[in-house]
Amino acid sequence: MNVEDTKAGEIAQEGLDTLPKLLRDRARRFPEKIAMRKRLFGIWNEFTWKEVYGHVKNIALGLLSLGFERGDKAIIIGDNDPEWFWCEWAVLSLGGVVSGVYIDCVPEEVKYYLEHSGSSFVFARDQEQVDKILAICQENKAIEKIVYWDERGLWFYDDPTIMELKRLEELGDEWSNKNTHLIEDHIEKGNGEDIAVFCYTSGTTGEPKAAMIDHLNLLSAIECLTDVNHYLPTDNYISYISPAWITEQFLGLAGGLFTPLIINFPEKPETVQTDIRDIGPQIIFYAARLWENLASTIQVKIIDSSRFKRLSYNLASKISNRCLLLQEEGKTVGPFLKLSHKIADFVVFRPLRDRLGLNGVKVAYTAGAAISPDMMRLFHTIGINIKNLYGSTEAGLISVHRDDDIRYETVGTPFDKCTIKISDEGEIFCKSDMVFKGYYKNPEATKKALKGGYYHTGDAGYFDQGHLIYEDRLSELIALDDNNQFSPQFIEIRFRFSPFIMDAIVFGGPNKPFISAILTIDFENVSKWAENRRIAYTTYSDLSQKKEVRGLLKGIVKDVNSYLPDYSKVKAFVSLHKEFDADEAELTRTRKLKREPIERRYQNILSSIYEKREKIDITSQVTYRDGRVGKVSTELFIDYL
Amino acid sequence: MNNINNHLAIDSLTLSFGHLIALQGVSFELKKGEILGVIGPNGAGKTSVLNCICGFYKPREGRILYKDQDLTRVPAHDIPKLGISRTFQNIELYSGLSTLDNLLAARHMLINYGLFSGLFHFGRKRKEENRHMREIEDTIRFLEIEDIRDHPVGSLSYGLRKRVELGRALVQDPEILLLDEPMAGMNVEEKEDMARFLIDINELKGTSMILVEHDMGVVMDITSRIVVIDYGTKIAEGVPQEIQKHPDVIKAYLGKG
Repeated sequence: MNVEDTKAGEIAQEGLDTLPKLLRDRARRFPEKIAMRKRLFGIWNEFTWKEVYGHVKNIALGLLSLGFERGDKAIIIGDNDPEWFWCEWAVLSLGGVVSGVYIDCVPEEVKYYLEHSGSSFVFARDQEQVDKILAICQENKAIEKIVYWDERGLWFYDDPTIMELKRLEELGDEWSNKNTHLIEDHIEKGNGEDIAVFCYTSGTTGEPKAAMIDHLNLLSAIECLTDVNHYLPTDNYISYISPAWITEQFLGLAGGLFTPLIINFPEKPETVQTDIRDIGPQIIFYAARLWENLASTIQVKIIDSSRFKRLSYNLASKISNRCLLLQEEGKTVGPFLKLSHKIADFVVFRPLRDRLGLNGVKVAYTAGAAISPDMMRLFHTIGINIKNLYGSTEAGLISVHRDDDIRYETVGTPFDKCTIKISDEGEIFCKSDMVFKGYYKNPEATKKALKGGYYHTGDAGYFDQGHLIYEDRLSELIALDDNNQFSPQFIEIRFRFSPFIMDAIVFGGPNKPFISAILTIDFENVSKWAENRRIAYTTYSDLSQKKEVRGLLKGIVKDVNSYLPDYSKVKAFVSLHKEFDADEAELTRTRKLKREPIERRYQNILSSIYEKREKIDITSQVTYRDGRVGKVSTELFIDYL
Repeated sequence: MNNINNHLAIDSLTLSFGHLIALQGVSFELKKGEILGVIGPNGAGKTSVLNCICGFYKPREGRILYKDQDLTRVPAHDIPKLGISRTFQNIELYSGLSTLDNLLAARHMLINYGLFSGLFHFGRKRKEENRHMREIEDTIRFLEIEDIRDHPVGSLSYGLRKRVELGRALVQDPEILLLDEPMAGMNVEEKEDMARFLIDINELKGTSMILVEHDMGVVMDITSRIVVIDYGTKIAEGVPQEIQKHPDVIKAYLGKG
């Protein structure tokens, strides 16, 4: 069968109920098709399915020779690399369970994951990660081997617990002569209902919980997506979001095998912009935060460009917006407008998309957090077909925008295979093959989450003409005194649309007579703005308190307020002296705000706001990457509207 | 002087500009595979020593022995071919060229195909080019500057330019690396990175180094021996612990007590 002719879905999936079975099938059926590309030494290195399967087999055999047994757990910590995928598939081939860990996790977090999951094998990308694990090894004797795949800096380590991935593969290769069918047998033993992955929920509250995801969860999620969009085996996908996140498990690890796509790995996270331009991917998946950054960059670059370019961009945007509006209203676009749109696209948007490497994109998804409708509109205006994908670690995928039915303020329509119920409290319940199998070692939480056969998402939402509208986390909806409810997130995402604002967190509700906000500035963009106006500043905290900058923020607050009903208008704000940071537990690793810790931490700012004071002295703790703790004291101004 | 361990021997070097004497009878040796620190107050003559080694200055007296040759008689442009490369205190890169081009330019002396095969991309030329590219990409990866491969050097931050400058010295496959204040003007993190690179180069490739540096912490940490120069003369030589306690060194740095 010629692979270019096949469409996803047409490729028979019968009997292929685990990822390793799929992988073996791909290696048999499309041995010479390119499976992966990794940029190394400035050159894109290609791996065919046969080669990938070879690596996976050797790694798995190597693991067996080290005493890996069915049901053993392994942790992978690293960037997106082919090696991550090989190691994960190898562990899964042996009936093991993988937990992915974000590279920027501090040692205590890694230790928690290691101990909670009971992992005995660790795959760590490089020296930085190996050092973390070795430090943990001193206390945790359960770790049998640490395997790394980037040898830089590790040349002179002589700890017997560490081993290079190449060496592991050699071990496997030696073994394979004696045990040719060992891996095949192991793969055959696998079952779709075997747990494949522990996905630690980012946990905006409390300790992270390990959601148990089985092979069928992963496969049905990618099946759902394939039903909505027709991926072709020639499509390029950029693996950029961390595989520690469920989304990359769906799209990269399961999707790469299922379709099968060509999975491209950037040289390193810093080079992703140029790498994307090289590849021109058809499928792209960014977290909401990344789209926001991209939108900021576009807006700032436009402001910075010459007057002629600015004028052309604005004119083209106007034309494109008119077209979009007409299409939304279901009216036909006149021939003149159609022609001008074509010209605008050719002259302005095409080069812009090319700059971003997004010219070939068929499907662009955003997920992970809500994104403001303005942001969606901006991308659609410049011709990027961005869609919301709503789901969660536990629920799998819930709803998505369809091509001809995109409404910016919704999270799309439910997947056919997902049954959704809205509870009396307005909570979204869902039931599908994608719903997880429970929390590891936490039956109470599992029982609570899966009451009555539905997964309780904890998200508030409702249906509007078939579209699901996501409001906020149920626990974060705030009842105001006069019986009005408001969603902080609804306001926050509108703040974040401004290129000058990095983060915003909004407070209100009981004991808080009005709504207030803590804003953090986008240092890069605001400093550029300040330089253009010849405003001198020294540091982030200095810039954030400049009168002009506060004026700029005030303008943005007023602007956002104009969209809000009277009862939820923001009446006071503080420009914070620092950015929120995941290392200080203010954000999750996927950059979602952690409301409670932030509220606790900045209690004195909030009380000063509600005491209507004009400024406040603040001393705050700063935790550095190496664990040191420092103190910063500053004076913050409070602005009232 | 003919000790087999000695890589480079500097023998009573005297350098003067008119009546100004920059170096007077300075002698020391660089052993194979060691990192030798050269310290001293401002204007002591540290950079002059490096300039003599790489042939920028011709000393009035003295010899610099390396591989049975006296370097003072070798023209400056031939010295890198002998395996001695250097970095500069004030970055000396082609600021309009990209990182990659800067590194390529530094390797030109190792490129040896003729004009004719150079006109056509085949045979020896092609093989050579691939080999050089591989070497350069190795260095880029080693120094973790993949993301600035195609950026014009002029647009880079100071710390990164210093790293590119080190890269340029490295792609010449030196046996001896002369480093003139590689960490000046860097923040703590950049210094740590640079120190790590230097140690890795030294351990991996066995490259000997002469490190002129102002940051005492760094010098004490990564060098195996230190030579102290003051007013053009060597006032002390020894392992870092000795140097820290040496009365003349303390006097030179802190003044008379």
